[in-house]
Amino acid sequence: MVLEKEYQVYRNVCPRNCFCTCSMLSYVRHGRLEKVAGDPLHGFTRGRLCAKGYAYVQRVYAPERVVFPLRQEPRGSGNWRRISWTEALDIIARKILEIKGRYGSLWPIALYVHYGHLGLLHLAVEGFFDALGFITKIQGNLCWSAGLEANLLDMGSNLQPDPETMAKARSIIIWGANPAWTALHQMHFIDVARRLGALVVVIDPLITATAAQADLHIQVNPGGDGALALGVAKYLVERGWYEEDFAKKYILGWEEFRSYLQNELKYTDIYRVAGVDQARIEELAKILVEHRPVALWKGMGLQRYTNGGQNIRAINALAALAGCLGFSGGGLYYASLQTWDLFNFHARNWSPPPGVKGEHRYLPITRAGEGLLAAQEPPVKFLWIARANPLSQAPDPAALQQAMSNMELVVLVDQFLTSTSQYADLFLPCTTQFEEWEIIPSYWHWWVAINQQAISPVGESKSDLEIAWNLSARLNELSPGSCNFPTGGDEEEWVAAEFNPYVYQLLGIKDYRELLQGPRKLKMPERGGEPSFATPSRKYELFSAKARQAGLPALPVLASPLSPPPPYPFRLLTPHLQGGNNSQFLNLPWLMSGSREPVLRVHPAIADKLSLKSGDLVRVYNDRGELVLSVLVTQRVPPQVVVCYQGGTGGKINRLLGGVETDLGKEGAGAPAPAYFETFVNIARI
Amino acid sequence: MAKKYGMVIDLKRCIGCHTCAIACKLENNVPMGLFWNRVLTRGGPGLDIPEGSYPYLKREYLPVACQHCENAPCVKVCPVGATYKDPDGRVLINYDRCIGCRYCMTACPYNARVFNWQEPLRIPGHSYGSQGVPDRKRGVVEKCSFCQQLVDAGGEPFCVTCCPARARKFGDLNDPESEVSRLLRERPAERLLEDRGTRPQVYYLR
Ligand code: SF4
Ligand code: SF4
Ligand code: SF4
Repeated sequence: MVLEKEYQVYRNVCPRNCFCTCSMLSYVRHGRLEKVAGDPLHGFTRGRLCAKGYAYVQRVYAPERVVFPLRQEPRGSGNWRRISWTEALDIIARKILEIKGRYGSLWPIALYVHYGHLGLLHLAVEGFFDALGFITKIQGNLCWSAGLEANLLDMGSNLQPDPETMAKARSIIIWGANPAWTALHQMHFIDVARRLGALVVVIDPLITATAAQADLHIQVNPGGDGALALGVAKYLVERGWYEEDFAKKYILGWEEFRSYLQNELKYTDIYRVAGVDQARIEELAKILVEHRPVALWKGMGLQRYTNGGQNIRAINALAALAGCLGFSGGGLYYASLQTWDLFNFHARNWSPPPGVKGEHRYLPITRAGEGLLAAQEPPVKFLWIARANPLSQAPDPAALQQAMSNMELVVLVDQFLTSTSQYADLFLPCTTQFEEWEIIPSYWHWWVAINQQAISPVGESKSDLEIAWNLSARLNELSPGSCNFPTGGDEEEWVAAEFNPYVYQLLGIKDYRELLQGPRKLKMPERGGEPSFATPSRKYELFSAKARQAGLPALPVLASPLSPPPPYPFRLLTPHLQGGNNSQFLNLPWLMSGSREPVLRVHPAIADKLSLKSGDLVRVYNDRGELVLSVLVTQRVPPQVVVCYQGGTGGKINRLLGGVETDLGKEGAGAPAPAYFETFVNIARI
Repeated sequence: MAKKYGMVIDLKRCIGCHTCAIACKLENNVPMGLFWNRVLTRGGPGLDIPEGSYPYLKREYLPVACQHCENAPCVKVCPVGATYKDPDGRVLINYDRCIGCRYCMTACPYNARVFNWQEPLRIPGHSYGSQGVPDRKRGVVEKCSFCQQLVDAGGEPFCVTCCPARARKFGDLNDPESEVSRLLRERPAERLLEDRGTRPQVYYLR
């Protein structure tokens, strides 16, 4: 219920890297955003946001939001001064052209982008640099790469069922995800299923808010998820409780896998790696058999290990045996770009000026700092960072900071002076979703909503797209023909350019403007009927030749995560926290008041041994670095594991990361991801 | 029969997401440092810490705002009649009358009331939330009104609309057909600190 008449009401979309991609209504009076609400016409979020969503009113007008271009001299000094856009763009354009002249190449220009904003028009950053020429790109994704590639190896695609249909499952296995914090609106569909009698199982080393709601919580060892899956698969095979017809007809490598489960895999090894006993394995096996259809949701947590890809492959294998791949009710969930792939990517897809030949130089994101430092012939001299806060979120921030210190120019596009801004020279202020047009698909649900401009840009903020136009304009003034990116335009037209007849057909509309009346759901092609897989064999590949080529076992066999080295006996987990989205929102007093973050969560047994109580300060250290945190003694974490939610330490915690990568990821996202959860520390009271 | 507005909060559904706390702050233009609605963790020693010891752990959240007590101690102690029970069964405050003595805060066993010790500070700098929320100045007590501005216009409290878990229901306790009355018939419910005799109009389902 809203008092519409007093306000102008606009449609917006939350662009955060979040499963929900909520559709919002914004209420504007006197040109100011006074209220936001969920959009009741959105069938997935149904008129609701999360706490962060309602805090946008504070975020847009936060006093520390930067709304003018700034220059820091010298870098790292904190000595920022306001400059004009003309000056900022001129500095950047001249630097680009000077470097190009000096080296005869654009490889000294590097681009670091991530997913701080999911909008398609924000991909104009990539589009702009592609329209300039061949540069150095930081490649990969810090998050989901191992799981994505595992799915591609097994099934050849990353399709998943409509998450709303989870409401019809008779059992829901939430494996390594914490939707009560990170995919809030899915909890409704889970709750509907539960009220209709479904069993909810949560498999997680931590007692999360989601686990607290579950009918069964299996406290698996960190990274022992694949072992648990294989244990259940072995049990199902031994009993003959699996889909034999499916296995014979649609699975490649079924005989090898069955023989592996029956003859090679030992329960004792499973208990050791997974940290569960036979009773738990049987319990889970029975649920999979007796409570069908099963919805099995693989979270991102369990793939942040050196055996992360194997964990996902093992769970996929279990799903294949248990008949829950999603061809007849239930299904296998992860996250998917199936709805993204429908759009035109007009903002992203640009090519260099005619006649410019070459190729990009790629540096893997897990070692971006090292890569930038080591790049030679030519070295990297210029870095553009957008939609990202790598000095807080990436592994090895020390190397990245070093690399940034060596640059001739570092440009950061953001809204706040983040950890990363410390080593930037120029800060370009960008708009929030309320100040721009956008189209933002979801990697989870099937709804598409439009984001209209509701208020004028705050201060002199500009969208990533407008920045790209303006910079292209300046470059072409100084050196005509140097950049193929448009030099101006209309944001709404660029939204229109993302649509095509097929998306329109799936949305049941003829024009994107119909979305101004309310979000629409994509009518995705049915997956029922004959199972089909986009793998080389057209079958589900339990035996994957591609995996073997990548130097991994062809079958999803037992793989252990790393063990703690003696001097650092505790595994440090850094999952997502509730009040933020990665490092975003953590600066907002509405959300953070009363929060004690960052704290280190320690099990009472460990606290006793070290005579620690809540509030004590400890040194958390390993051979890579250290930081001081306050302790919170809690049973939510198992012994031998300490937890500090990511994002809250301004990158200090990432200095402890182990420097190891996930086993898979290259195929899925261009590079493996950091194995964030393979970090070991010791703690000492101070 | 006169209305008796009340709320029913299903603790089995609440996932402790704090959405209602922030949405309330937005809707009611609540200044920095104050919350009308907070989400506590029941029984545990701190926010979001479970009760008991593994594997017998229990984690339950407890959203708490004004309980709109039927026998409201805050109303009784207010020396100027600024706090009153309105005809629809809500406990409301006439902010122009409040003299800031804070007797009501002492009397309230639920810690539901907050006080403007200083000039209200807002970030953003302008007023936010819905039209029709009364202004509160420095030196007055404030609290949840069951979103009077929305309810009187035919709507429901914002926290009810916003709750992603659909844990919050609002309605007329005197109307046997209302959802809240039905839930109270069908499910065991409790009120906070029943022994105080305040007879809250906010019920919690277990
Ligand atoms: S952060 Fe996620 S749940 Fe919250 S408003 Fe944004 S999209 Fe919705
Ligand atoms: S919004 Fe609902 S689920 Fe979230 S804390 Fe409040 S009552 Fe609980
Ligand atoms: S909860 Fe406190 S403020 Fe609300 S009616 Fe009861 S005594 Fe008064």
